[in-house]
Amino acid sequence: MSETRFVIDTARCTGCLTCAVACADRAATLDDSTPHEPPLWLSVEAIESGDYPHPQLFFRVVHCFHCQRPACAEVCPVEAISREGDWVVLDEGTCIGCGACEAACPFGAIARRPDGTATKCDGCADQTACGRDPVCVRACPMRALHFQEDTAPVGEAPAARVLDEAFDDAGIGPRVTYWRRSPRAIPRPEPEDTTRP
Amino acid sequence: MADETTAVREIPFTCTLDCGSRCELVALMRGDELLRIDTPSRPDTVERPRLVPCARGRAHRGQLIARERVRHPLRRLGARGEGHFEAISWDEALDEVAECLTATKRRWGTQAVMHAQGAGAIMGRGLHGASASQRFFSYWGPWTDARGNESNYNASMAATWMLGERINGSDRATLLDSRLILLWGMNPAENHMGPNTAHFIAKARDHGARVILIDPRYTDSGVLADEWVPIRPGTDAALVAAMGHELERNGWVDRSFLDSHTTGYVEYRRYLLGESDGVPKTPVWAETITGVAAPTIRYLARLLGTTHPAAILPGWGPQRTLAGEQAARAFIALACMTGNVGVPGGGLASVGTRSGTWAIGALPRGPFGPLRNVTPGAWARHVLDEGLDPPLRIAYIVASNLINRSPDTRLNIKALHALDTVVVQDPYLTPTAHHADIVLPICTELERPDIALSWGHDDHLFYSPRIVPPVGESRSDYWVFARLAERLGFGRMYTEGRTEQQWLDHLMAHSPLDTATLRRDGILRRDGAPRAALATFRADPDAHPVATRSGRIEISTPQAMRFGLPLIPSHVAPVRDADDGPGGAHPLQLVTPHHKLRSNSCLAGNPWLRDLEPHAVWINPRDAEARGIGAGDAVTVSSSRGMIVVPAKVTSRIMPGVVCVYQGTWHQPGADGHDHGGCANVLTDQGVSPSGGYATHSAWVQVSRRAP
Repeated sequence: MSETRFVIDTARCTGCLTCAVACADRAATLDDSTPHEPPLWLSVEAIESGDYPHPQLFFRVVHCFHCQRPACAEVCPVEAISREGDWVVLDEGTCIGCGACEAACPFGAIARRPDGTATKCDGCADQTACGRDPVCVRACPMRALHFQEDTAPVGEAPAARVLDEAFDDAGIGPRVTYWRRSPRAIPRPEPEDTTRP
Repeated sequence: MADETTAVREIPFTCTLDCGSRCELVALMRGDELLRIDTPSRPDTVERPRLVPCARGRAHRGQLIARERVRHPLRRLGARGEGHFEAISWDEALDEVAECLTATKRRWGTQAVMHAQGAGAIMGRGLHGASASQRFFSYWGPWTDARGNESNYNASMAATWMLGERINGSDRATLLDSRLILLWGMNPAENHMGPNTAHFIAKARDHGARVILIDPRYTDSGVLADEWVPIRPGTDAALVAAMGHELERNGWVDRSFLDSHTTGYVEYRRYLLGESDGVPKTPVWAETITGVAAPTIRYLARLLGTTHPAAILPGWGPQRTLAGEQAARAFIALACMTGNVGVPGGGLASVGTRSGTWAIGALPRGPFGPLRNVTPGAWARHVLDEGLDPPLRIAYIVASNLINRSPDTRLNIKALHALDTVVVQDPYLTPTAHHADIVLPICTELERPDIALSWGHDDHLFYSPRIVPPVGESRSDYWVFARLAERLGFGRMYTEGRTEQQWLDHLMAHSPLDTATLRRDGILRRDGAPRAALATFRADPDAHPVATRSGRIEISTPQAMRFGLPLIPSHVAPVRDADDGPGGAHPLQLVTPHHKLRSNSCLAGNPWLRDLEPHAVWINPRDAEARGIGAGDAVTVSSSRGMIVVPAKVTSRIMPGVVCVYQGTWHQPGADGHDHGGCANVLTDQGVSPSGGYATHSAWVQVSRRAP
């Protein structure tokens, strides 16, 4: 059986932040030490580019992608991070708060608590163990987030999607695939007759 | 670590925010402990999609711990507005409010009480917010209401004139049949306006529909759009007219629909072609007004004229302007001209109602009603009006951050200070509560039961039980008014001997609906084939007329002329102050849209939402450069009404000449007299449209670099 992975359809993601809040709600249950500032395991980055009147906007959902060769684990001086089964697991009791993992993660997926210790997405291992999708996936009002066994884009028009080439996976085998809307999916309007009033 | 696999109970509930959607939420409980919030775990089906809540709904647990929650009844210490309070007991607080109401009634009469509500908890079928307070005053005596429709007043007027009544829109699943979707000032990615609206638009696009965003801003909904057409705020009726002109010239008008289903098109046609005023409404004519290039207007007209069905989905922004009736009327006319009425995948400007078709009662009213109504957006002027007889002496404010959500915040504060007594019932110590004499702590939706209806389309009925006990000493609005009524001698009439849960049980017991399912699932859904609004009218207008005198959609409406508006949905340029507009002291147009993490100003105190997206004024790089403003710079935004200090978001997502400040952050006056909370209504004024609608998107401002 191939490994499950996060498949994120950025053509559908409108940056509503529902996944981030749903994740924080669960994280606050698991770790209620800072209830007003629950651990932020998932963030949504708005990426804006292009000049007026042709702005481009897409949102990138980022959390721990439970890499096959996790850069964070490699740099941890106290071996608090390890890959266990499908998941990259952080032993928070062992963490000394040095911040090396935060610096090593190319996706910015590791957050710090007020006391400096690291905290990150646990993959909703308790959810997936009972056959449920991770909380962020279930929370998405746009059905843009998926947790599945292949990398195929989701939806009725896979031809309208292309792999996100802007995403640099840094060669560490993150379990995520981003899809973007294909430019070809947007046919150009016909040329205009500008001579008329 | 909480283990969700053992003994976890799921209790369905819903948000009752004043937001435009009703969604399915689930409380995961172990015993009486709320672990966290989830969505129903059943899979989506096309016919029965999950009503997936947004970030606001998922953040309810943040409401239970917010530092700004009021946990005890409070009495003012020191001068009003200084923000010093002492905690008092419920008995003390209620006695004081009761005495104050009685004394005012004796001296000035019951009309001296201005009861203000709105933009907080819902009313309608609910028991809380204004449902509870209006029942109270309906037994106490005729009061002065500050009640009205701040959301879609102008669209409601347009619908009433042209369709005979406000109507609900088509179910969102009908968008799957659309070939073209015009998001015209509509922003479903941020405002939702019904769960799944943006979802179905994305799905329709996957099916090949073209999506056009017509908006001064490239909103988050831009992600769903194939093209963006920036347009100057308040000029939508001119764009419609030019598109109409092109539809006429090219023979793209659905003449047979107009003949069989409408009246009064001929006058509008004469306007479009310039036969009535000598000015053909050409794309070139509209370009100078709207800022939309003439070729783009021709392109839009061709798309709309040759693509069927097309859903014209206007938001409520275009009509919240000084001639907003005209935009709202024009959208209906455009749908008629292109035959996009009553067909799946088409659509008509809908304002949506919550009257609902569900056979279930509401909290009944007593013998009295309001004897006066002050314009909700301009209540402050009435408070300060020395000629008012009797004068307003008390503001009794329920479920409303009144000074923050009404235009001209600083004038609103002045008005509160002119009153004898200000009573505020709210879960939070809002900027309005800050100016109160008595603050009564109210609980949020997790902490009390209610019933609620969906908005406008996709008709559902919700039951939302109490999930956790009220925070601190907070209580429901119903609980408060029941005890006040007792003190004032009509407790038994108010409660009829029922607690709020007993009221809900009573309403459900006397309903023919399947209320056992409603209790169990938290929702009764009316699914089945998605319904297109006015489908029966379309099929047979004689058998199913609309509610106008002619039974047809009336494109010329003499009713509008009573307010000084034209007979037809033509473009009307509002008169503006000499300082406002290009070349003046306030050369930039300001829009103040809703934000995705708030419902008006509700949730601005929720710690889980507050800092997720920084507050800023949006400004185009061209306007920023002309003012020496760089990204993230602290700037001032000033109007004739006030000044706010905020960071600048320099972005090509807004058109030149227009800036944007999301409404709903809390007013924070600084020592310099300016607002440092970024409260948009510090900048807006209380001018209304000819028929009386809010016009907050018709403000003009200047943006300047803040002196270091």
